[in-house]
Amino acid sequence: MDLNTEARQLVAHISQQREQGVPAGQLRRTLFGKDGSFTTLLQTISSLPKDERPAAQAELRLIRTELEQLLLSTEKGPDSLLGVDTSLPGILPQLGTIHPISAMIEHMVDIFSRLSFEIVEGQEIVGEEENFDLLNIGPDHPARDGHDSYFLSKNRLLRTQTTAVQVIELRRRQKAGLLPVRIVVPGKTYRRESDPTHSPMFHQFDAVLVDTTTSFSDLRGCLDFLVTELFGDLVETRFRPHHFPFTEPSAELDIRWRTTDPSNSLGKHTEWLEMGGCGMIHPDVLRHAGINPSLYRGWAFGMSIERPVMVKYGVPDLRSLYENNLSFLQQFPTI
Amino acid sequence: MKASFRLLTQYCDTRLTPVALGERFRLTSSEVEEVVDWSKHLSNLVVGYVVESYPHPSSDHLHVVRVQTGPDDIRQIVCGAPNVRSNTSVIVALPGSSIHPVSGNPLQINETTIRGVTSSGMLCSYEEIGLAIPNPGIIILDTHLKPGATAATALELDDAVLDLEITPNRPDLLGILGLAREMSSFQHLSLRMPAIATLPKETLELHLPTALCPYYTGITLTDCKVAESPYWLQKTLLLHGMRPINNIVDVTNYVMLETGQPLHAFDKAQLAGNPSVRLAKSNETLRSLDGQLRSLTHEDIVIVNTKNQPIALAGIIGGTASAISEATQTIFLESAVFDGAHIRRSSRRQSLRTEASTRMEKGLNPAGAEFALARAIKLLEDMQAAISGPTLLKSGTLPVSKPITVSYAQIQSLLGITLSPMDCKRILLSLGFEAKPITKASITVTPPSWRSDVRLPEDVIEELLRIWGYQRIPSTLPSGVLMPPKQNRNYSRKNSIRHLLAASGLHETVSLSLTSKTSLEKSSIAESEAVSVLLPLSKEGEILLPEHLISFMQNVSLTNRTIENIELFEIGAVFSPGLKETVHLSFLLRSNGPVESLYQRGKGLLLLLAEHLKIGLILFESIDTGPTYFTKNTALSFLGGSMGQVSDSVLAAWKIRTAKSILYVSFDLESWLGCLEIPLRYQLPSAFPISERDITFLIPEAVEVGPILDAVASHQSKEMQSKLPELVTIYRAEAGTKAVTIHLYFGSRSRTLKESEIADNLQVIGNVLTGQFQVTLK
Repeated sequence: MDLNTEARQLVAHISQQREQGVPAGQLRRTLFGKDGSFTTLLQTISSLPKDERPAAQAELRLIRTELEQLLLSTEKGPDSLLGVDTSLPGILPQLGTIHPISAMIEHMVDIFSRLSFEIVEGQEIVGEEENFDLLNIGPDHPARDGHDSYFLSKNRLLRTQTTAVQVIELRRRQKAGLLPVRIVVPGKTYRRESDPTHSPMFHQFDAVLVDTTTSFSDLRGCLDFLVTELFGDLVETRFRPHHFPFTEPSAELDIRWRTTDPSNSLGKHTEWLEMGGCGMIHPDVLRHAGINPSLYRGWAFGMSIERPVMVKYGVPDLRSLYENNLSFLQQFPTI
Repeated sequence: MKASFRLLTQYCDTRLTPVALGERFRLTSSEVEEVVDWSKHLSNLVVGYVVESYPHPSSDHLHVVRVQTGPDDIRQIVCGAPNVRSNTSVIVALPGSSIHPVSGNPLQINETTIRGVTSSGMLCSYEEIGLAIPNPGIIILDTHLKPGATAATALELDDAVLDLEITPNRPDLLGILGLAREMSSFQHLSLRMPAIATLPKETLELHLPTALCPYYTGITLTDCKVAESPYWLQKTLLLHGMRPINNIVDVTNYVMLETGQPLHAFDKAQLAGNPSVRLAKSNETLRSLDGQLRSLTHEDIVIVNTKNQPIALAGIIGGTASAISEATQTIFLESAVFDGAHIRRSSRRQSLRTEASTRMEKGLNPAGAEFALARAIKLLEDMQAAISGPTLLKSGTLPVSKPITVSYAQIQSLLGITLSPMDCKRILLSLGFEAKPITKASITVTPPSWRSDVRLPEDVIEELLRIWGYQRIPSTLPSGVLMPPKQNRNYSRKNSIRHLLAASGLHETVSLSLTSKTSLEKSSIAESEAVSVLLPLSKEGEILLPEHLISFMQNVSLTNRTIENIELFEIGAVFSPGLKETVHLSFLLRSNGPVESLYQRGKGLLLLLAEHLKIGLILFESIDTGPTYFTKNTALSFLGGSMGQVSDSVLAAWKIRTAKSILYVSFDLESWLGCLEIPLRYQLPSAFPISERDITFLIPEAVEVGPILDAVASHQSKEMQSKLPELVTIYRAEAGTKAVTIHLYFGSRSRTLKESEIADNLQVIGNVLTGQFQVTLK
């Protein structure tokens, strides 16, 4: 029997064995082991005349590939090949969670970073001046009463808004020659109120832009971008008038989910929903920062972080955000 | 500010429904919080004609009436009102309707049987339909009304009340006329002003202190006939949340509602001569109209009579002594503007917010005072309630509005839109501004007296934008010079730490930064180590959080009480005396495993962070006098913080089971973030082999492994140490001893080590262990 015939018979035999469900591992040993049938076949090459050897070697290489493919081919029946049950469920690494408020801050910061905004954090204990006076909130403004803010000493208090950072930071940048300015300020703020829809502590996000040319429509454009990135294309925005002492004109931003979209069946808000306040920075506020309002103008926007978290994920109770219940936290994945 | 739709339409027409009108207000001036539809409240309530009324056969006070409620509809109703009688017109709530009484929940009306008599509906009183007109018994109407006509129309309650949130810069919108002016502007329709009386030419200057009272007008009215107000007046006041008193007082309130200008009527007899205005003295008191005896301070503005006695708290509330009563014959009617800041402080101090004070504290328009006075006189004279006297009392001068010039270029650059000169002119004129001159480049405007909030070109531009339409602002992106944004390293690193810890299995918490003294005490933290809030809202919020431990304890004692294995972390500011604020990173670790592994986990996490921040090795040191919330002798200190087991007494105070140990780790994250990064430099991997060896030895249970591991590391030849030795296992085969295995790495960067060299070094290390630590090598 010549080498070729023997090899072909071997292939047929292995193919048959595979069909009968003989494990690949076992067949591998009978083929390629020390006294394996393929090993023996290979050894016969040395007994061939020298000029026939290269052709035989090439032939056996092909046979080997064929055999290997047979061994790799889909197993039939129960996989007892190596005694491994590959059907067991995967094990997730022990993962923790990032609080949805932190995640929302990160998300919003990321959105504004793409518009070239820098991040400033500021302190939570601030002076009355930065929280009020510099923002045109005069000594007789209702917010100045201890009734609405947490005072810690005669003129130090917990900031009632992240806007408290605005003038100080603008002033610093103006002095350092760092105009124009694009900054966002995320952080904790405090108001002396507590009921089902108000918490004495909450988080705010401010965005401020000061440049020689920018307008109310740029403010609208940036907020539209924010809203689309946060909630998707199905959400529309509107501006409506409001009053803030530190912006003129001032506006409030509302959002709602378009009702025209057929996929909007997730119980999303189709009524207008207030998202935050904004406006063109009041010329006096720019002056307080040492910026000439006839050369520069700016806009500012502020909103709570809790609001988009509640709207986006349908969290009904504000206070559940600070309870840190594991069954709550675990619904907000880390990755 | 409540505004009745019917009242608004007296001054400006509209084709809009109340809800649509509310939406227009929302988009041009003021947020509308609610629209209460009275027609809806009164649906299925109709006019009825009482055909017959006779006593209920089995009751001594009930009546049975037969009421016609339609051309062919006569129904039987049982009624308990004393004033029910035949041949009168009444209001009938038909079965199936629901009524909205002044107090309590809406009431469903059904056909029912009362003491054996079928009652098909209910005859209503004013209180039962939601109007607090104090009238015992049911409503009796004019008999000309057709039976079956809707009650809403019969009672002029086919109306809706808009509740608007007026921003503090717009006191002019605290009157119906101001709101109607907005309507006229955004609808391009004209404003109808109400009729007013002509004030007497003869005036008397009072010379009142202008710092307290910028503007004052007043007049004596004679021939007073104090009586109950007509229905329309009572109803209008009630719809706007005010209580009817008598015709004189009701007119003052009605005019305030119309114009936003508070008025006050004094019994002239109690005033004696002309009034004066001054600050109160600290020992003075006033019994106010709400019956309270109020102690005055030297910051309260008072109206005084000729005997220099306070008779009213100016701009807030009148006094009982000078109140209008049925005996009043002559009244003094005041329409004045007092200093807003004074009024606001007074009202806060007295804990008294009235319709007058909420308006007065905003700083009212002096030019509106005389108009309101003339309007009140007109109404009182029309109602034949009083006759105007011959002299007008006055004090103060009217401020003059300054012209403001706004260029169209400025509008374009601020808003990003182009408004035509015609648009600008139309909008501003409709809001009562004077606009001239109007040139090709700019428009010069003078705000009306009631718009003292408009001072800058930006203010004028906001007016234009409001009426032109905020929703028409296009959406563009900023252009201009791009300043390459710098990374905020601290922020980014805090974020990456969050991700690292979360990926390591810890859950991030965000907790309130306000806590209580009780929580401090429970956590064994002295009050002297914490910051107090000056005016806490409650006991739960009187202290600024000094340690995350408190939030964690609250968490494991309540929220996550049932979870045995829990790992939490928080990044946030904590506060210490001197109003110091530091950002801390804290962990809480609780597990079923041995305490040792908690420490290993805590240290491991810190080492991971140190590695991440590239700040090198963190050294731990036992401390005897650590924070008091740790169990004695369990605390370790390290760069910027400490860790330890939370003491049983703290756990007990928080009612946390002490079976599982809790490790608390907390440190000043800013001090870590402030550390210099160890620069990374690439090193060629060693070309020579590394040999790994284990050393296993027995030591008594009480001996600490840490120092032994350190000794092994320090006695391994530095030249041969390719990596620091590692602890492999601690195996406790028998009580009292433990078998420790340490793994060593031998390798040189310059040559292949000889087996004998390694053996020699291991011998040296072995000797140190047996000599210094009395271990038994295995």
